[in-house]
Amino acid sequence: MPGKQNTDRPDNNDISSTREQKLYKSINFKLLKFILLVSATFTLLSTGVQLYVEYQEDLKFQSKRILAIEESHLPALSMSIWTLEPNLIHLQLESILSLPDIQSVELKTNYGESYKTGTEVEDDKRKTHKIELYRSGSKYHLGTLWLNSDLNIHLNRTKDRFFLILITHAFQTFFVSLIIFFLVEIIVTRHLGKISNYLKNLRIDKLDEPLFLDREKPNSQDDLDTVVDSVNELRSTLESEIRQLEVVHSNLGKSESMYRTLYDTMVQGVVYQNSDGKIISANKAAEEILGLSLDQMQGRTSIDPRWRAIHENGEDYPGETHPAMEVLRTGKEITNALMGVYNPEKGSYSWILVSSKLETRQGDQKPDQVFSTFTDISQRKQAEEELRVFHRAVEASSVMVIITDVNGIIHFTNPKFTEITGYTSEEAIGQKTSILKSGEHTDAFYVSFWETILSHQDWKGEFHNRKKDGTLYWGHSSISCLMDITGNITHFIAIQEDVTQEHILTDQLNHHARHDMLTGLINRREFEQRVSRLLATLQDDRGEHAMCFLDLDQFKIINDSCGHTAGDELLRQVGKLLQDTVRKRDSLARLGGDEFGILMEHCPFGKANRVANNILKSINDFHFIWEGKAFRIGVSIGLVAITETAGNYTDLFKQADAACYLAKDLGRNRIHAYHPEDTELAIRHGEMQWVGRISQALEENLFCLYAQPIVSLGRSDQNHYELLIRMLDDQGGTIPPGAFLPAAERYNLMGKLDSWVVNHACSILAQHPAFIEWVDFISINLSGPSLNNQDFFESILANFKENGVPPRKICFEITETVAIDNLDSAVSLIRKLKASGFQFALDDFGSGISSFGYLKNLPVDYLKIDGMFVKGIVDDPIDRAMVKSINEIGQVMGMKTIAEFVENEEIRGTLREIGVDYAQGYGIGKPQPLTEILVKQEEDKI
Amino acid sequence: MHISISKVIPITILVTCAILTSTHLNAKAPEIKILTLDWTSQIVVSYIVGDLLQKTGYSVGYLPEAAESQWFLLGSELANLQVEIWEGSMAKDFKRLEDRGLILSAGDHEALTREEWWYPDYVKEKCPGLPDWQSLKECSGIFSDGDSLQGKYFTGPWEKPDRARVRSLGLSIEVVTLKDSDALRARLETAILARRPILIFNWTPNWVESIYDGEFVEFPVHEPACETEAAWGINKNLNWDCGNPKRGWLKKAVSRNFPVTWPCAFKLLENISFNNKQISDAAALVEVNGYDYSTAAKYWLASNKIAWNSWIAETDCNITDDKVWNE
Repeated sequence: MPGKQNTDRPDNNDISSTREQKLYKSINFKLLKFILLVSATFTLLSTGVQLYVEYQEDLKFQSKRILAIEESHLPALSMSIWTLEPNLIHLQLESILSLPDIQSVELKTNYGESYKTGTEVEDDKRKTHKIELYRSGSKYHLGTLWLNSDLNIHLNRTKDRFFLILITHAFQTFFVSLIIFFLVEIIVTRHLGKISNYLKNLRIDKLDEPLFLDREKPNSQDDLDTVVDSVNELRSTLESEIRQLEVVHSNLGKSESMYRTLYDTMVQGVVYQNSDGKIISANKAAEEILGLSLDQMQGRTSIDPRWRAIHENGEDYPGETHPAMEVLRTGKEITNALMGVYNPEKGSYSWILVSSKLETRQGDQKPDQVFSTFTDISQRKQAEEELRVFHRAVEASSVMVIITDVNGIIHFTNPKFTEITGYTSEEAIGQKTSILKSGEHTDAFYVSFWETILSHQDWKGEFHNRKKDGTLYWGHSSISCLMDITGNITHFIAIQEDVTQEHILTDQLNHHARHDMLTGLINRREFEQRVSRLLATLQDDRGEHAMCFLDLDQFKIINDSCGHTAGDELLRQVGKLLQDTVRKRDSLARLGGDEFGILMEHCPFGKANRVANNILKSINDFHFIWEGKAFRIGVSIGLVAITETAGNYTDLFKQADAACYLAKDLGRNRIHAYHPEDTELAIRHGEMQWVGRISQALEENLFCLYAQPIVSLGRSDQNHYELLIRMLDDQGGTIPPGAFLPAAERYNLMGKLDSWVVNHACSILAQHPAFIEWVDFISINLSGPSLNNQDFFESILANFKENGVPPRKICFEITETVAIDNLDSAVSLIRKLKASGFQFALDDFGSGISSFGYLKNLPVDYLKIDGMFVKGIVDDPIDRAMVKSINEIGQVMGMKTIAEFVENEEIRGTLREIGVDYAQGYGIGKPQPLTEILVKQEEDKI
Repeated sequence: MHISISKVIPITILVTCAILTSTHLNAKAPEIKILTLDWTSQIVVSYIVGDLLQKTGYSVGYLPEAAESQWFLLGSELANLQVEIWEGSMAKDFKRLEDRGLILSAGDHEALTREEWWYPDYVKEKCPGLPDWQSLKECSGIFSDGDSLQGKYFTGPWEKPDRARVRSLGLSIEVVTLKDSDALRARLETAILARRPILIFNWTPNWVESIYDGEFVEFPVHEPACETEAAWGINKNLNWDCGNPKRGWLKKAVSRNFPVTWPCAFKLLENISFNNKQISDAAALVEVNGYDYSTAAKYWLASNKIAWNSWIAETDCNITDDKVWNE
C-alpha cells in the first residue's frame, strides 16, 4: 500500500523539508537572525553617529581656525593696510593661505589696491571680513578680506570612512554569527531536546530515574546543569510529597478522633442545625446547659413551642428570632446574643450568650447547616446584679466614696463627693486626688500615708483638704486597697466623712486656751509652746531664728492716769500695731501686763533686727488718743538670736528678758540685742555681783597696789612706774582690774577706788623716802568721776602734803576718753594740780579718732600712746604711721611720749627708731606688787 | 594809464559776476578735507590755506588727526590735503605713496626744514664746546633733572631715531618721550625761566625761533647711507651715527584725484609757498600770542596780503572751466 506507505513514512524530501523547518524554528537560527539584524542596525547607527560627530568637529575646527585668523592675523593686516605697506600685506596674506582648509585669500584696500593669492573657488564658499581699525577715537574701514575654504574635503573623507567601517563590520558580524550558530547547537540545543524527551516520558513509577545529559561535565556548573538539577529536584519533590500525602491521610483519622473528644468535653455548648433549623447534633455541654439530652433535642427546631426563652428584660424570646433562625434567614453571622433558656432539669432559666453562623460542609456548594455555640453566663449575671445593688448603695451613701487606681487617679466618686468638694464626677474622674490637696499637711504626712496603703494596710485618719471653691474642710477618711488575684493592688477605696464642724468647735476651744482675750494675740502659754517646739527642732533644722521681748515705756503712766479701760485700749491698739508690723509668719504674743513677745522663725538675725527697728519706729510714731488727749509711748526691746546653743526655753527667756532690761537700763525706747558674744550683757550679769564685792573690798581693805616699770628708750636713765590696783580674792590670789573696774565704773565706785589708790600710794611712798628719792615719778590713774569731785582734789593736796611726798614725783594719768567726756573739769583739775607740782599724762591716746584737735587744750606732760597701735607697729605700716604721727605731735607740743603694750624687743627697737621717749609693757617688765619693788630697791641700794 | 569810467564799469560788473558765479559754482563742489595734524605750524598753515581756498569759492573741512594717520587718509581719499610734508620725518612714506600713485605732490614751500636736537643759547656757558655733538659726551651731566645724574633729552611722540643715534654715537643721555608738543613746550619754558640747561627736539620753521635764541646740535652730516649701512660713519657697527637732514624740503601733498576734482584749487596750492619766517610767525601767533588757530590764520592773512594775493593772482585757472566741471 504505497499510499499508506506515503502517509506513514515521509519521503526524503519531506524529511529534508521538516529538517529545514526545524532549522528555521531552532534557537540557533533565531539567534543568528537577531544577531545579524541587531548588529547591522547598531553598526549603521553607531557609524553614522560617529562620523556625523567627526564631521561636525571638522566643521567646528574649521570655523575656529577662521576665527583664529580673525583674531591673530587681522590686527597685523589692518596695521599693514593702515601704513600702506604692500610687502607686509603680501606676506600676511600668504601666511593666512598657508593655514589648512584655506584655498585662496583676496583683499581689496580702501585706497583701491587689490591683492589675491591661492586657487579660485566658487563665490558662495567665500567668507567675507570687513577690515576696520580704531585710531584716535575714529573707526576706519580699511578694506575687505575674502577667505575661501573647501568643505568637500571633510565630506569626502567622511564618506570614505563610512563605507570602510560598514564593510568591516558586515564581515565581522557574519562570521561571528556563524560561529555562534554552531556553538549554540553543540552546547545547548541538542541537550534541550533530551530534557524535553525526559519530561515528556516522566511517570510516577519512573520517579526514581534521574535525568542525565550526554556530555562531558564542565568545570563549573552551567545553565544546563541548573536546568537538569531543577528537573531532578522537581522529580525528588514530587516523590517526597506523594509520601507525605500518604502520611497526612493516616493522620487525618487520628485528628478527627481528637476533635470528637474535644467536642464532647468542651465547656461551651455546641449545636448543629440543618438548613431547616432542625438540630442534628449537640455536645455534652449543650445537653447540660439546656437540660435536654441529644435525643430530646434532635429533630427540634428553634420555633418548637417546647422551648422557653426570654430576653434580658424578661420578655419572651420568640423562636423565629433565635440566632440560628436569623442566620438561616439572613446568612449573616450573629455573635453573643443574650438570652435566658429554661432548663427543665434545674427548673430555672440559664443565661447564655449564643453565637451562630452558617457552615458549608466539604464538597457542598451552598451552606447547609448552622453552627451555634453558647456559653452559660448565669453566674456572671448574678454577680452583675449584686454589683448593681452595691453601686446603688454607694450612690446613696451619706459618706463620700472615692475609688482610685494605684497611682491615685480617680476612677469613681459618689454624689456625696460632689456635695462635699464641689467637684462633679466628670471633673474629678481622671484627675489625681491631689486636686483636693490643701498644703496643710507636711510632706512627711503624705509619705507615711502612701507607705501605709501601699503596704496593703488600711489607713484611717483625717485630711485637711481643699474644696473646688478653695475653702478647706476636714475629712475623716478610711482607705483600703483592692487587689487582683496575684495580690497586686489595683485600686484604693476611700470613704471620707466631713468632720469640719467638729474641727471648728475644737479650734475655738483651743483658741481660747492659747490666746489673750484682750488683744487677741497668742498668750504666754502658747508662746512658750511655740518657742519650745522650735527649740526642739533646732538640732535637725539649723535655721536661723530670733525672739524679741518688748516692754512698753510709759504704759504705767497712762494706765494709772487714765484708768484701766484706757490701758486696755492702749494694749489692744499696740497689739494691732505690732501685728501689722511683724512678718505674717511671726508669732506675736502678749506675755502679760505691757510685755509682748515675738518669735521670728526662719529669720536671720539681721532681718530680726530690722523688724525690731520697724517696731520701734512704729511705736514711736504711734499716738494714743484718749479723751481728746494724745499720749506717746516708747518700747524697750530685747532681741535674742535663737541658735543651736540656745538651751531651753527658760534660758532663752532669761536672755531676752535681760536684753530687754538692758535696753531699758540704757535709756529706754531702744533695742538691745543679745547674743553669746555680747560682752556688755554678759558682763552685766557679773557686774551686779562685783558691786557688792568692791564695796566689801573697800571696807575690808582687800585691794593691793602693783607697779609696772616705764623705761626710757633714750639715753636717760630714769625710773618710772605706773601704779595698778588689784583685788584680793578669798584664797589670797589677785583679781585683775578688768574684772571689777567696769562694774566700779558703772556703779559709780571709781571715785572711791581712786581715793583708795591715792591714799594708799601716798602712805606707802611716805614710808620709803629712799625710793621716793630714787624714783623719778610714779603714775596714778584717775577716773572721770574724780575729775569732777572738788573734794577729791582737796583731799589729794592734803594727803600728799601731810605725808611729805613731793608732788613732782606723782604723775596722774587720765584716759583720753575720760578727758574728752569731762573736758572742762579735766582741764581745770590738771591746771590746779600742775600748779601744785603734779605732772599729768594723757592715757590711751589715739583711741579717739579726733584726738589732735583738743590736745592743745590739755596741758599734759606725757602722752601715752594707745597700746592697740603699738602692738602692731612692726608688721602693720598703718599702726607704725599712727604711732609716728602721735609721737611727732607730742614732741612738737613739748610732751614726752610713752608707748604702751611693748611686748618684745622688736617693738622696742621700732619705737626707738621712731623716737618715742618711754616704753611700758610686758616686754619691758610685768606689773609686780609695789611692796616687792620697794624691798628690792632697798636691797639694791644696800 | 587812463581808463574811462564807461569801460571800467562794464568790466567790473563782468568780473564781479564771473567771481560770484565761480564762487557759487565752486561752493557746489565736494568739500576739500584738510588734514590738521599734531604740530602748531601745520594747523595754522592749514587754516590759512583753507581760508584762501574758501576765498576762491571752495568748501573746506578740517580733519584733526595724528600724523601717522595722514598716509592712509590721503591714500583712501578720506582726506585731500596736507600742507606740511617734512622731509626729515616724512620723506620716506611720501615717496612710497607718491611712487604708487596714491598721493600727489602739490609742490614745495620756499621754507627749508630741519629737525634736530636744540638748546637755548645760555647752555653754551656751561658747555662751551656746543654746538659740536662731541661736547655732549663731556657735558651730558648738565642736562640731568635731579632725578638721576644722567643727562636727559626731551622729545615728542614723533618717530625719530633718537635712541639709535644715542647708542651709535655713544652718548650718555636718556631719551624722554613726552606726550605732545605742549608738554615739550612746558619743559622748555620752565627750563628757560630758571636758566637751567635743557636739550629738546626742535624743528624749523617753528615758533620757538621767533622768541628764543638757541642752536641745533651739529651731529655728523646726514647721508642716506647713514640710515641703511652700518659701516658708514664713525660707528662701523650701527646705523644712525649721523644727524637729521639739514635744509630739508617742505611739501604740500594731495589725494590722487585732487587735480581732477578741484583743478583750480590744485593750481592755487601749487602757487602757495611759505618761507621759514612766514611759518614761524604763523605758529608764534598761537604759541606766543595765544590766538586760536582760526584767529591766527585770519591775523596772518591780514598781515601777509601781498604774499597770498600773489598766490591767487598767479593761478591761471579759468572760472568757466570750473563751471564746465561742476556741471
